[in-house]
Amino acid sequence: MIHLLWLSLLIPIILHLVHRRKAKVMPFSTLRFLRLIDQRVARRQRLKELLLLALRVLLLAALVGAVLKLPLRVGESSLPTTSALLLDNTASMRAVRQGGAAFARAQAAAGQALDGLKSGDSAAVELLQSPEGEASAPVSDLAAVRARVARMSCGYGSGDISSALRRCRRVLDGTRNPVKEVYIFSDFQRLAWPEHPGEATRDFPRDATVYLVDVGAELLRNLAVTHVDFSRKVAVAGAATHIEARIENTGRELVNSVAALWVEGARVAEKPVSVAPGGTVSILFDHVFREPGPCSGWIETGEDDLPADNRRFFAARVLDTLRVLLVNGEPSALPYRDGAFFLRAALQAGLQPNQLSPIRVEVVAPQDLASRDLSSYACAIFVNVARIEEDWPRRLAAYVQQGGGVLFFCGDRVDVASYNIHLARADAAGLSLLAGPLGEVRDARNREEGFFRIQRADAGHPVFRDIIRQVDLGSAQVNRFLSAGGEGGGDWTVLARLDEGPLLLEHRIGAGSVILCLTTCTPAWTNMPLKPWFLPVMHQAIYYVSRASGELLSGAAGEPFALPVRGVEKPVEVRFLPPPERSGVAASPVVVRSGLDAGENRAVFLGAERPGVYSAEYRAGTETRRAHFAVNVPPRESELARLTPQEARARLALPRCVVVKDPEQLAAAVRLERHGLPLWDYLLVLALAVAVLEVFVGNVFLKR
Amino acid sequence: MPPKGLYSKYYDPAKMARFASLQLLARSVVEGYISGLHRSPYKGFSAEFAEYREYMPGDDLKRFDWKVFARTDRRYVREYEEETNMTCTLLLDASGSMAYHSEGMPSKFDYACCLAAALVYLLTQQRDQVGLVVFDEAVRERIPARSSPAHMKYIIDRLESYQPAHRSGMAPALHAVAESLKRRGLVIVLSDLVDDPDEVMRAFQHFRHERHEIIIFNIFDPAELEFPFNGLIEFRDLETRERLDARAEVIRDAYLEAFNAFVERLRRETTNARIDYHLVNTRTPFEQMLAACLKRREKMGK
Repeated sequence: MIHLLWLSLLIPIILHLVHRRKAKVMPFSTLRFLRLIDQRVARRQRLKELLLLALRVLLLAALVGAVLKLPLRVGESSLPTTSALLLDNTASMRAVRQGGAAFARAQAAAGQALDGLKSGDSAAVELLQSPEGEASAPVSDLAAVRARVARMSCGYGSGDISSALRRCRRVLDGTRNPVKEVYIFSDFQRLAWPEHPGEATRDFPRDATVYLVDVGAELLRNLAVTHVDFSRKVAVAGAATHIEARIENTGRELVNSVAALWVEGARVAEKPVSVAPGGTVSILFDHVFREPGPCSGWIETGEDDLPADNRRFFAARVLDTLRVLLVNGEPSALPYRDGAFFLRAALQAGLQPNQLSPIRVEVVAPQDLASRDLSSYACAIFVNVARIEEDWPRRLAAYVQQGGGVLFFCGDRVDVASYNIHLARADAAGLSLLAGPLGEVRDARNREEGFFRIQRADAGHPVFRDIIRQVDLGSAQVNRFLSAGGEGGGDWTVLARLDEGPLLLEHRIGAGSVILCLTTCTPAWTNMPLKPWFLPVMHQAIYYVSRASGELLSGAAGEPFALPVRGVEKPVEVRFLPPPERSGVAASPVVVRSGLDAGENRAVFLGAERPGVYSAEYRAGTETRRAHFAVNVPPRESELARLTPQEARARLALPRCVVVKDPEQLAAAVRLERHGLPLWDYLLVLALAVAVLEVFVGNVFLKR
Repeated sequence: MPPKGLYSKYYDPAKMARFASLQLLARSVVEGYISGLHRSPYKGFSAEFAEYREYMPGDDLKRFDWKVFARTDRRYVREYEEETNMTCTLLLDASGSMAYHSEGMPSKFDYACCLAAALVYLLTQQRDQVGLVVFDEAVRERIPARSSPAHMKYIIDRLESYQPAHRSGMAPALHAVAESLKRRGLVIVLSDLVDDPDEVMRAFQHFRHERHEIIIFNIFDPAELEFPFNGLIEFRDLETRERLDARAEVIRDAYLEAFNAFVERLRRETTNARIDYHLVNTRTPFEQMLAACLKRREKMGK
């Protein structure tokens, strides 16, 4: 049939020849004059007739091409095809612009891609935010694939194109179909496209066609809550807790909005925020948790183009008391000579009149330390302890690494050599509790200026941050203090400095820290315990270094969450319960078996897909322990900088990569790539134009 | 009057009678057709008295009749009908192109033969010697000039026997004729002259060099003059059988331009050579054409 249509092109040629044969024979007296004009007219006439013939052939060719829907290039269209559809489901795809979310546009475009497949083709769907693992196998039931795409929902996490491309490659490796296609529906968020994802495409099939479909849009307004933290590691019932939120404007417009604190489902506070494009502000909420136990909440801002990052959850356990172990190396019947007297008094006093302190101090002698389980204390304080026993460094190091806090107050009883040997030297693991050795005692009596005075304190450090304006540190008088080697260097952080050396040093180890006070709490060494500000400073220090038994556990949506299983040395089953759905329907619990990882018992939960507060419970002996953790959108998803599809194509560096800027044009782009340029509609226009031209040439031009 | 019993396709007694009346008309006005047709090179021979007329100042005193003046005291001059033994040679083109005719028209050759027959009659009537040369690319037949009625009949009979056929290449034939004419006289050419104009004009110059007077009847069919064709036509040359395809309406203007340039050139160059040139359309009845031609010569004083 097709050949017959093409044969129709012979019609005008035959007509042309027949028409020529039908020329009337005319005897004429002489051709002398005709020959004279033949050179210039007859040749032109012949050209015109050939032009007319060409036009008629072209007219027919255009019509035949239009009828056949002739493509520019006929190639692989009829061969079986396998398509891997990769949908970007990271949190940034929840951005709402142009009347819909980017992920919805990706789904619609994926539907278009599936519509372009024919019977016998196969397809598989992959998500950008998906754990590295087995790729889904392509199936020929395209309706099932379409239904799966329709059921998909956008995630809240991050993703990496490299991992997704590897999965797509595995999809294509598993097919025998000769034509291979990969569709990437993405907003091309810059962070998801590393500089060299080409490494992931090194073994990519060279004959595979990759379509980069841009379903994203430029966002104008976006405030993101990128960080929430308590200024103290612990929250204690009845004590004010500072909740700090960092809010970033990743859009292009100045945004004036409101940041609200929600605790246990109630909006408890709000503050106005105004953030310039690219700017960041920190908002601080003061909140007093009245009841001990698990608590959760979130901080959120107003609606904008990317709702996914407007809310950031937190979860904590509010403690009723803080147990503090105080090792007193200077016991005395006389309170003013007892090194622990003033400290215990300060810690057990409430910060407000008629208020009880949540801190419970347990004073022990150094020799009793061996019988105490450090993990049951929020922190340990060593006051003028003379010697460091041999097994203490190991126990203390493990304790601090797991988040515990240790404070050393150094007085005249301290055996500097013992401290330096056991605490300042690195152990086999390379850890040392002190960042440097202790030195000699400095005595103000040998000094013309008299007492040593505090010259400077780190006002930004949590120990001083909230009270630095209310205390007069300059009123402190220090008679004696130990000099510290390595101060100002190594891992020491100087929190307060005397006029002739550091007074208060911090050394962070693992999740905890060690604070070294180079004087002690007796009037013979300093008058600080007698100062009113001694009480809040000590409270702040205890809150700061305390073991975070009520720590803020948090993870990123879409990423594995490793829950530390405490109190159990062997693997146990941990029951994770996701937050309820938005519709209020309770989610099904997931049971995960914990395992030992680097000496720590952990349960890795893979189902933290949605932001919210998750809970977990497990048995530790006879006790059922519960933990809460918050899952949030990774802050990087709020970074809206995009690649252009062309830049993405350059990064992929694949030989057959097609950019589709408008998802609505995907079908046309695929048709063009598969079948070549669809000439038939152009051919129709051409046929019409040629028909008009033919009439002109045949009736006007030719007869001139 | 035409000889009794003489009739041919080129000699229509009715038409010839009309010419005869024309002759009478011309004779009564001036010198008659023959005088109008040619200027006699031989004055004074065989002058036949015609009539008297009153003397007008300026008349030649040689013609003044002194005897009548002496007898009657009236002044008259004698008028004579001049009679010469002029030799006229008709050159008839019988090349293939002369066979052309469009629909309803006589062929150019037939038209030329009619014209030749009429001229032979008229010249014979006034007792001039008439000869005929038929040529194409060469001289096909030569009939010497005589003035007898029998000779006239012979020429007219011979005219009926010719068929135009061969190529035209008239210049050599014309040169040959010019060389052969010993006595100067009148040469009348009946042809379409479709040949190299330079060669043709050189041949006519040859005649002029021999002091012959030349009258040319350049005969064309109306279709050649107007090119009225339409559509795609395969033209076939009647002489060479050559073929040429062309769309007539497309080449019409160019053809007419080339044709008119050809005719104009002939007209210009014959005028320069003092040759009497007449473009003849076969649509025009030849007696009308001949009458008009004679009148024009009369006006020109020839």
